[in-house]
Amino acid sequence: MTTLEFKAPSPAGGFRDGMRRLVRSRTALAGALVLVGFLVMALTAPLLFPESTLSVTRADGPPFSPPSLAYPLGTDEDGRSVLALVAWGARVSLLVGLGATAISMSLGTAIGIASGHYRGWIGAALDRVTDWFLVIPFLPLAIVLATVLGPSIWTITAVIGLTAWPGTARLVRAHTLSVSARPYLERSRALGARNAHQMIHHILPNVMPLVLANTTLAISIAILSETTLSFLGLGDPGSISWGSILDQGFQAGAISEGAWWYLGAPGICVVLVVLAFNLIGRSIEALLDPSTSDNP
Amino acid sequence: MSLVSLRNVELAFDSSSGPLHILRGVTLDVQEGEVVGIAGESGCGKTTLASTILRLQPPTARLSGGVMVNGVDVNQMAWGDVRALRWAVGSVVFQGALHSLNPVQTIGQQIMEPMLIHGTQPSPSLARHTAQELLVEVGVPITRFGAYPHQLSGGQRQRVVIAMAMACRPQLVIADEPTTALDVMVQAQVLEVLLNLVRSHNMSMLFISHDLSVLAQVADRIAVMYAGRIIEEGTTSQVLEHPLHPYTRALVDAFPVIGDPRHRFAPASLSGEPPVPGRYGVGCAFAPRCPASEDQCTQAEPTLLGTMDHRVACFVTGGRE
Amino acid sequence: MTSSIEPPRILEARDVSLSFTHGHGGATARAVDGVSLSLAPGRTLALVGESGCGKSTLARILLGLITPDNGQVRLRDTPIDYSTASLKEMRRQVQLVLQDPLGSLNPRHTVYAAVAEGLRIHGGADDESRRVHDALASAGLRPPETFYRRYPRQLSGGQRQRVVIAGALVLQPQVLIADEPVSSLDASVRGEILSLLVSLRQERQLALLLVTHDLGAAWSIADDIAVMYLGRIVETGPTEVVVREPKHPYTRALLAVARASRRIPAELLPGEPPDPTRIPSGCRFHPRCPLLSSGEIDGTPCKEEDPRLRAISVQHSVACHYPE
Repeated sequence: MTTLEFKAPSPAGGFRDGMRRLVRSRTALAGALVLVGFLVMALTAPLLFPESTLSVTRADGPPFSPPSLAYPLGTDEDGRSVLALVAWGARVSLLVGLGATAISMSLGTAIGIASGHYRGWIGAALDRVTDWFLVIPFLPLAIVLATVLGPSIWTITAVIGLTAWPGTARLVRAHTLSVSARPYLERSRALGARNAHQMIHHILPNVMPLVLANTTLAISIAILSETTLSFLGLGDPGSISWGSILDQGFQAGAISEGAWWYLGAPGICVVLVVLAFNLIGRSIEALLDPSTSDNP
Repeated sequence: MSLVSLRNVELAFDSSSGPLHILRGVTLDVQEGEVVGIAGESGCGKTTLASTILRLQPPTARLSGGVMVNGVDVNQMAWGDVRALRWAVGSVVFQGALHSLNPVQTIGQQIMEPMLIHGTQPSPSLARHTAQELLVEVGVPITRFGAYPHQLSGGQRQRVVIAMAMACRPQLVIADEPTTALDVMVQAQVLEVLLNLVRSHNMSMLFISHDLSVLAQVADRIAVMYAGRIIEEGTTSQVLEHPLHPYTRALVDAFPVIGDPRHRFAPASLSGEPPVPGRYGVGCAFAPRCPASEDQCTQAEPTLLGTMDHRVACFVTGGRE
Repeated sequence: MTSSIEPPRILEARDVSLSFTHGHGGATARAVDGVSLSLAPGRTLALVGESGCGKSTLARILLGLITPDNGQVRLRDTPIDYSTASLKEMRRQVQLVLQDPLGSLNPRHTVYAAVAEGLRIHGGADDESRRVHDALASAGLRPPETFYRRYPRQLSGGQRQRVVIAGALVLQPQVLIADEPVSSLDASVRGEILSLLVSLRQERQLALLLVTHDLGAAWSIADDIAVMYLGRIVETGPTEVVVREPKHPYTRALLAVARASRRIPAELLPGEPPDPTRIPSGCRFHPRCPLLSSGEIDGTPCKEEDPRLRAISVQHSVACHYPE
């Protein structure tokens, strides 16, 4: 149905086109490269900086020394290379970020689809549960769980996952409601499909682009959350993450010592990773949806 | 002098894969007090053509040819003159009333709005009075003046849209599929209202529709568009009763005569689909689907030939009468 | 008059009713109010009416997609039970084609997947690819293989509708319910799809229910016609009979408008069909009835008594106190 406000036809979409657009989009490419860089750093950390370099007792660098050729990111209060710390920290930060997001995405998507698709009491009940979890405050829960479960990476992952899923669920629910009303769902029912089939074959694929675009945002938030929790000392005291480096740095008096590299390095890493995910997030929806923007 | 005069209008959009030619040389006139119907299906360019009259085509479109209203080329006009043109000289009745009406304004206010903008009524109270009269003319009870669009029925909303189009007593009304989404009965009522208004105020109307039976009831002349060009044109009785172009014939056949036994279990069958707009090859754009096509049809594009009463662009069937 | 043998009924609705309530304590809309209808193999019934008359709701009741408040739906003379298993089995036999072909197909599924969906839902078939191939061919998409990997957005409107039809045919149903199958298609394409429906009815002895507001389509392909108004059937019979001698004033008005050629008909019904939440008392058509307003008849029964569908000749029935 055209109106006199005629829109100029848009170019053809499609997967290949999406890929081309991704590669051509400099921002998305930049984001991808940054991420790949960090992933490489995280994976090669044990090789480049053997665990021995993290040992406080065996550290041989001058404490609080600024960046130099020997120590590109300077040293901490014990003389350990901050670069080594940051590289090892990447492993935990990324792991927790991705792990927590995996939990919150799967839980959020599953509950969101179910609460949007099932009418009647099931849908309503799930909706209530979502609302309930939505209002649980993040920090108090983290502290309680850390106390109960003992501070560890898994605690943090669980806390972030359990507080982040309702946001996704609401988004998914809203989208599910609109998809459920479309004729091809009715057609599927007319063909004899049961609820499971409808949700898995029709609703889920249509909700996925939204979920994936949301995922990158969620990863960013998860990493930030992990940083915060570790910084507050709720993480595993034995493991290194960017947040724990910040915590350490504060405790060791990096500010008064003027050791800007100590706090700057992990901080900048967090910012870069979050930015990278956000840049990619914008292109992912176009990339993965084979049915975007085509002429009728 | 014609009220509206389109001379060899061509319009193209740029796209990543080359230019899309939406209009390919359209020549058409609308006289004062005349109702001209444009028949065609989706993608033929009829809506785009109408949009050019009020310079409503998208800024990215490249237009060539003459679009004259009252003798003045619309595309050469100063911006102020174009604004004055819109609604005061020519107004539009769109298809979906729901989309044309602002849901948070009363219908009375919406009818008054163009009058106040164009200053056709010296004061708000006079505008109000005129708006109320218009409401009565379109057959909506005056008590609904302060109602909101969602409080009216579909047929009433479309009548309000018509009243809005009449607000500044334009010389031309462009009606783009105004009744398509309505039920047959309401459609007939709305058509009646529209036609009465247009005739009683000696307005011209450009009526766009894919439904030939509707055009048969309202239009004095009909132009049939296909693939960005007019392929047949003439008085309504000539075009509908003696269609020359195979496409026009197929379109006429698509609306069976109810009660005619020859039309039982014999739905008209035209193969293929209307072409993708903007990308047309060499030769007549209809040739791939045409039951009467010959070799010459794929090599060159036929031009409109014939008399004022009936012209057709077809090598095989046309241009003789 | 010889007694006619009624064609065997494969799917029928007996006195079905359905009401909707809007929100909490809102008005109740009687969408379908005591309707009986039957479909026979090899015959096409057009269910005609304006929007809001309940025809789409009735179609979905016949499909078992909606459970009526009252009345029965019978498949081959057995009332359907609404258990999941038996409904699923019913789906193999009664299939649906909807109005909007673009909306009816999941944009992320290929044509092959869309057609095969029905088979896969019912446990898959060993010869799935052959059946998909045959279904696409029967729906006129030839050669079928060229369509397998395409997406709906790459097809034209007519082709999409054929894919939807193929998807319905792949289950080899005996009844096909088509809700406005050609309304959103271009005019020059409609004939093809209608021809397809006609040939399917011939070849497969399908019982076809065509739900439409378009009397032209009904004249084109329907053996029988049933006219609906505000949840009731007001006239029914063989298409030729009803069109030549319409007995209900509403049918007459619809036909007058549908057949108008060069002039807008003078006798238009006033107003619009009322809200199904406010159905008039007595004959629900009486506020708009031209017979009543002309004063030719005594309108008392019209205002007080709801007329039932009565046979006035073999197979032609009308619900009117003054069928002319």
